[in-house]
Amino acid sequence: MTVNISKEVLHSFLDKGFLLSPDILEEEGFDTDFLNLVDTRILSKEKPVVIGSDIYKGVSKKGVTGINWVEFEKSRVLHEKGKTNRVYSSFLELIFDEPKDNSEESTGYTIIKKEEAPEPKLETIEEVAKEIQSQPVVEEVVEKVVPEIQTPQEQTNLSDSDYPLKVVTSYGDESKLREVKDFVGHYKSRYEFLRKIVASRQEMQNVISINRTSSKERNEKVALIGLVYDKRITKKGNTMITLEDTTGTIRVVFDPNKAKGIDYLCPDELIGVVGKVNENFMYASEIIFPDIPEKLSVKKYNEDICAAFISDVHVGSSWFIEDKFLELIDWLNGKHKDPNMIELSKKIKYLFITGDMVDGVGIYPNQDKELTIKSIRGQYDRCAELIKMIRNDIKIILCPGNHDARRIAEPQPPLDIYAESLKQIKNLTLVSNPAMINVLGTEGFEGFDILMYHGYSYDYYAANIGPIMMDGGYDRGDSIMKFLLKKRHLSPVHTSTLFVPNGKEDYLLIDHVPDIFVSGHIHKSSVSKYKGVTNIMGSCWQYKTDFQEKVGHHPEYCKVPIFNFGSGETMIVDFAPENKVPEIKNGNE
Amino acid sequence: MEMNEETKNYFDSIDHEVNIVLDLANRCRSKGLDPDNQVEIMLAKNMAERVVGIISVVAPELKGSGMVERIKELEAEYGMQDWRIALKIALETAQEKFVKFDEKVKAMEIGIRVGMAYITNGVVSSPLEGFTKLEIKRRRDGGEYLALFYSGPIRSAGGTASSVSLIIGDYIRQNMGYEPYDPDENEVRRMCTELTDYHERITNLQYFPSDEEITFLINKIPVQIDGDPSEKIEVSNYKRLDRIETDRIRNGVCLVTGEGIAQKAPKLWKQLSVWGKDFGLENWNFLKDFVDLQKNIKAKKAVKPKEGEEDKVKPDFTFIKDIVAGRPVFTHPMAQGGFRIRYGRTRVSGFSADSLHPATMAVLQDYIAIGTQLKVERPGKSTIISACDSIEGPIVKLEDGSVCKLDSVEKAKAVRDKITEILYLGDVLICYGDFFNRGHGLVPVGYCEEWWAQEVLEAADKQGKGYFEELLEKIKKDYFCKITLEEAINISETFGVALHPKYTYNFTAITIDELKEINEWVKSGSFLEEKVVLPYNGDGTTKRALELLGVPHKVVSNEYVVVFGTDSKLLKFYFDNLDFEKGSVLEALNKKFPIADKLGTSMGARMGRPEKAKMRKLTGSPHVLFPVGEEGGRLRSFQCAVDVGKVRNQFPIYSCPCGNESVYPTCEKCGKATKKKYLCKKCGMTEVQCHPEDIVEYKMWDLEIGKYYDSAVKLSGISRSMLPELVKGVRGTSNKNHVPENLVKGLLRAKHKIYVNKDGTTRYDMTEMPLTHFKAKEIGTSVEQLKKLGYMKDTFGNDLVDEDQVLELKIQDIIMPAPQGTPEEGSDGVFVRVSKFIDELLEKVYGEKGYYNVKTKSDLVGQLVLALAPHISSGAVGRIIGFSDTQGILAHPYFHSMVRRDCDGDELCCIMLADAMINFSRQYLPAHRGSTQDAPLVLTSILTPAEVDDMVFDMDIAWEYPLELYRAAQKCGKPWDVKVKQLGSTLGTEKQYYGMGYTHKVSDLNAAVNCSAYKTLPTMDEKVQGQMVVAQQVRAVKTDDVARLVIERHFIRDIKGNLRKFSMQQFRCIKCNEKYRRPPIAGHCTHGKCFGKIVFTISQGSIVKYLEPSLKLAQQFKISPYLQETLDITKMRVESIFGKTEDKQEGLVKFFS
Repeated sequence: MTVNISKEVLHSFLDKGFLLSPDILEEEGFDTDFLNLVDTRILSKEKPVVIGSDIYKGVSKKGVTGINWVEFEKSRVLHEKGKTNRVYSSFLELIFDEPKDNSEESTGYTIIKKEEAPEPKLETIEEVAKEIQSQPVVEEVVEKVVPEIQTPQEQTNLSDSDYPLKVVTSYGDESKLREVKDFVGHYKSRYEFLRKIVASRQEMQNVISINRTSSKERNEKVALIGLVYDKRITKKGNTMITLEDTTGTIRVVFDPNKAKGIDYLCPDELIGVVGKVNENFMYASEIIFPDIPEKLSVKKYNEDICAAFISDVHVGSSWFIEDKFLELIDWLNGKHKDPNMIELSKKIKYLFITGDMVDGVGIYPNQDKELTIKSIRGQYDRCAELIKMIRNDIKIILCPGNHDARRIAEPQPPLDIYAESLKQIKNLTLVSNPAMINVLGTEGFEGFDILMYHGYSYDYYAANIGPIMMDGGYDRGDSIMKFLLKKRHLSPVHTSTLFVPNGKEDYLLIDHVPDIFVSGHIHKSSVSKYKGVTNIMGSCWQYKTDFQEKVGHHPEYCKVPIFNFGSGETMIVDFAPENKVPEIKNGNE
Repeated sequence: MEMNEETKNYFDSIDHEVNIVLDLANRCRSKGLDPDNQVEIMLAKNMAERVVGIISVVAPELKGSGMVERIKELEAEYGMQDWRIALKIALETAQEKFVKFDEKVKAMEIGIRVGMAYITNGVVSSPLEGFTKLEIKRRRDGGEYLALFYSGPIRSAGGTASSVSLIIGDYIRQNMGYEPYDPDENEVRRMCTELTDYHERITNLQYFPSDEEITFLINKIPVQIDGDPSEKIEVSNYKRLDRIETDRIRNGVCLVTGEGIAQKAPKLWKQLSVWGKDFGLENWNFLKDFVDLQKNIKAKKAVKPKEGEEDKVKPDFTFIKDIVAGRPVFTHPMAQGGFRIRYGRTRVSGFSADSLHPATMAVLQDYIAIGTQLKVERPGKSTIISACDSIEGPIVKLEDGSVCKLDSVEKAKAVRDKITEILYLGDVLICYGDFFNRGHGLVPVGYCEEWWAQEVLEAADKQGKGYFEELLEKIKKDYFCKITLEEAINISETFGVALHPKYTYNFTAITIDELKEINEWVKSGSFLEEKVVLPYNGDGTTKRALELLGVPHKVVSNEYVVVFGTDSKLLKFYFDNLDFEKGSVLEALNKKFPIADKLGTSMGARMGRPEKAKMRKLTGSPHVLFPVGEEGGRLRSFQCAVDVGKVRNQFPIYSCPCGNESVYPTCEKCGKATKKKYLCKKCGMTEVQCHPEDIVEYKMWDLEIGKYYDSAVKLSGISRSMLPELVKGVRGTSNKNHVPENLVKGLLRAKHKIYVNKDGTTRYDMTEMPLTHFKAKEIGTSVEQLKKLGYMKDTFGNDLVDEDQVLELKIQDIIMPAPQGTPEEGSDGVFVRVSKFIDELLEKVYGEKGYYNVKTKSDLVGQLVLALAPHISSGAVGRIIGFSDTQGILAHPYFHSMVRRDCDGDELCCIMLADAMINFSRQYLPAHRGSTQDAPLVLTSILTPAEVDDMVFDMDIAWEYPLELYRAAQKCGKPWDVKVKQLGSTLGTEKQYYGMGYTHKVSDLNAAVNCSAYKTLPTMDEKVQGQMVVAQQVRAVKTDDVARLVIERHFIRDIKGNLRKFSMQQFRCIKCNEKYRRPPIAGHCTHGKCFGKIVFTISQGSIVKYLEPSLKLAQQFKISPYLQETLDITKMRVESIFGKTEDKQEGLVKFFS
């Protein structure tokens, strides 16, 4: 089908520095609107020169990142000349997050394999392709089909004047017997997804599978991608890891002077390494982390709409700061001495609560002695009373934490039994932990994606990752969040959190990069930005407990980060008891 | 040393026999078939030799350096076991007065070890492994200070010895010119955090000092208490300090600080305040301030007792908190109807061992057997149980409502299945010495015969005997003699003492109103001869009071309550003489003479460890310490390895002149001595130690196992057709040089069905039980045999003629277990076979004559064994004189004390002496820390009472406890306010070896339950069932509370812990056993070319196994809504991960429905 494209259109692309490939004219629905998308969807400074149907198809659906466009175009030329389509097809995988037309491509491989001397990487990709074939990767985040899902749930019962809220991802409770293969599948899916991200990086040009290293010349430079199986420090003080892919394992020692980021290495994450091989051993000079792409443009809504973020309310605990929490409710309802504050509160349309709404029961030994409400139902009932006091045009989104009456293993399904009273509240949406929420998304505006994760795994990273410990560990929620975004995973280390695998998907992957990443658990709020993602850590509504005193935590309570969708800025409203008038701080640094 | 002829002969005969075995073993060893050509156990006659013997493991040069003589010299100056000796000898070692060391720090380190070894009697391995090293570190001002490193094995040294090691360290520091440690604030806080973490997250410290105490101590102690990391978890705060190398918890540090110096400060100060300044230790005067500080803290914490309650004994809930599912609670703390405390010692108790009536053991579902450990409320934490039939048994209520008193096992067994309630459990006999040793205040006790008898005699002394002379004489002779009701009333009327306890009911269990009700009821009854018939309409309230009084009665056809015999007369007597004018029950009864309180104080208890008597087996139960490697297959057998044809493993290297290369020091082909070879990194194979840093004494062999097996078969002399079907080896040797045992020993052990321990010997483990006197008939040894062993007279000086006479045990004699009907084989069978194995080894392999020539167990009588307790590296020689039906090793308290144990539930192991001498080698011991614990490095052949652990000296050895004890107890006095003869008072005299007394008789020490139901019940469900039956039946147990505790303290913790571990778990290859910290993404084993299947290490079963039992318990018994919710949420969490659980736990369901 040919679409008639005017010269104007061609010129408008030319003006921007793009050439259109003829095959693009074959594409359905192609028009000038696409030009607007090129800037927002291709998230790198360098842009492609020739836009063909391949880029169009990929980019029209989602943002594309981390692609070296010059290399891409070279590979396309090679592909078109029929020399090799190896590099090109791996680029395509990256653009589409899926193999490009499996049947056709695999025949292509076979032919090449027969005609030419097999290139080392060939089999790897072929394998990957096969694996991908057997386990189709879900295409797009928003349409994501979650196996355990009860949601997506959309708020339909509210009036038109409401601001939109969409639950993109929330995991239900799938009750089944977990087997070893579920754990294997968990790590395998992590490997497969992140591998593609890393493989597209320039440095990964020479990537081969680990079992091919043995056929390499001594000291030949190669790149490998795999999961870190373990990490230790050698006698000489060098970092040594065992790297694992589906074909085998290899020991990798890092050149301490060159390999940047080795201090941040942790077991079970996926990395790419570049170095020289020598039998079953590699001396690596570079590490490549999956990382998230830089967001170039700041997304803004056309109205000053705000969201407030709180977590760790701990209703039922003897240490719950109820008076201050009531003060927060009053403020949200527009009761405040300061007119500016009232003005601000009016703008708030969303309230995110990132777990530990209650103190729970049986969480630690002798907890009953530190509870004012000893029944879990009672605790949720009180929560419901509190939440109901909040004006009902604020949409409240609540995910569970490790104190809640849900399984502690992640993903934690939304609150259900025991929290019946919460389920009755109309403007409250219960989601899983982690969960992805989209707000303010309309036909013309994609809205803001908000990743909620309570943060149970943070304990581990605060205590075990050298640079984070040095930075202040538990006091530096921002460092931990940034660290995890780089790993593209909420809890990469096997023992860092409790999780329930289902064998098909690694739920704790950060597959889709959010606009806002919000957490709690560490009882200290912070706001930071990393590559365009706003990281928000909610504070708590509980005084310092004996336990926290003992382990040397420094909780800061009653601070509420507020994000303004109109300006993209964040501030922190302080309800801490020492201050008579809550102080407004600009936390966006 | 003073001793009579008989004692001297006794020790001489033991010494003589030890030397015969030693000579024999040395002859065997010289044949070169073992790692060393001579016996590797050092013989020590006294403490000085033991000290040198132990320390020579790390500093062999100390042997013959004059240290032994010097210690004896110092002992002459200061007396035995004086700390000053340890200080002096430690310093002299550090100053290199005995031998020169390479480095100064090494000299100081050995010095501290020597000092510690002296403090610990040269018995435990703590000086070797508990104190790991000494380091010189830098002060902030650049000066140098000493850091002492401790590890887990310091535990076996005990709190006192471990804290004295700090003083020794400081004494050396001062005299060698080092500066004191200058802790900074973070280091002090680190210690506070670390102790808290250890106490809360690892295991309870016996004494958990407050932060204030720790801060005080760490700032003052002039050396640094340091240690290697021991736990997996890190401290929760104060990490990465430059002078503390690890962030993980160091158990050695916690033990030395908490259970050591903080707990023992008063004891330390008691000594240092006397002679501290003579040694320049004035800097330790802070101990005084510390003791004051502790007192202040204690005073602040202590809740002021209410008016009039100052003297009251208060319940202590500690023992019940660590409840274990399947091990019953027998009495809640101080609950009425529980174990009634009675003072006394039998010949099978004392030294942390208590006695119960055999009928009590029988009614408690057989959970308590002789030798079972109880965790108790007082005076200590735990105790071991023996039987005593001269104390009171239980009072029980049966299905038909009848109540009876059980004073024999037979009676108990007859009614056991009909019991609905155990109203009173009966007595627990606790000795005075235990109260004294633990510093526990005396508690008021119920009225008892021995108390009554002395009151009567006292009164008679004052008032004159009158016409009671004959009766009084009878009482004087035997406090427990039979007194008729008439006699009892007469005596009380005459002398004004309380009525005989046998005729006293438990009046303090009821109120005055209840007494009135009973009075009315009794009055309405008909009094016939020898019985009282009371009308009964099924209304239980008044009858309940009668039950609580402990009046035995029968319920006849649900219409009448009948009291029979003496009790009917007694009831009439009591209710004819009531006077309700007075306020209390006892006063109301007190018309003619006083009626005493019979209940006294009850003691709470729950079951601890079950008793044990079992041959020790290593994992995989090998017969020989010779590797079979992977080739040995699943069963680790040589047969399998021979089929494969080789064993790939590390072995030492020897070459024979005949050209053969061997793994043995003697050629298995030609029998000649071989030459040792080394593997050098630089030069390859070598016969000299060319580069000491680079050589190892072993290499990886593909050993032609068939060759070795054949030569072993030939040597063993076993014909091919008689070869054992399975000879099992170890996967690999864990010792430093990979020295294997000679394979022939495995063939012979397999033939005799015995197994080898990690040190090359065969061991039998048993529960430790004290014994001071015995009867021939109890131990299955004839009078003639006993006479041959030197038992000529009985305890009372009569010639030994009858097997029923009571004999006093000689201090190195032991009685071994030979129980019937237990899951494990008795020691008799095992040791008969060990003897046969040794004889065959001697004859076939070493070319000697058989030594034991044992056919039956009675042939074992008179043979010597080496006894060794856990964490100890010094054995003691014991002589077998018989076998009991119990599962305990019955030995003299001195003997237990020799291995530094009291009898509160520990175990001891025995090795046949010839087995130990011939087969033990230090070279077999694993290379890791702690391996010298439990290894017989040193052997004490003659036991010297003054050299044993001093705890035993507190044991009482009187024939009766004085009246003052009972009177002091009424007022909650202190044990030291009363004088009772104790073992310590005989030290150094001839009487230290014999002449002990006991207060309560035991007719037969075997006569009670001999195997705990805990061991015979196969599943946890059944154990919990039994536990709940006990809880429901015993009046003194709050059933709901037991259900709560079992759920809360055991089940939920277990489920939660495992649930937590589930998603963080390791994985394992089913084929090669390789462990994975997470599953490999390949989905199969990636180890070599294994490709094995990967499986869980924590299964669903292990997580859900306690869920159903918990839910059922919660259903059946009343638990708090909080716990119920916690349980429900736990269930939800389990189901969310594993799916809905099916109702598979039928056992409990059936039982509770």
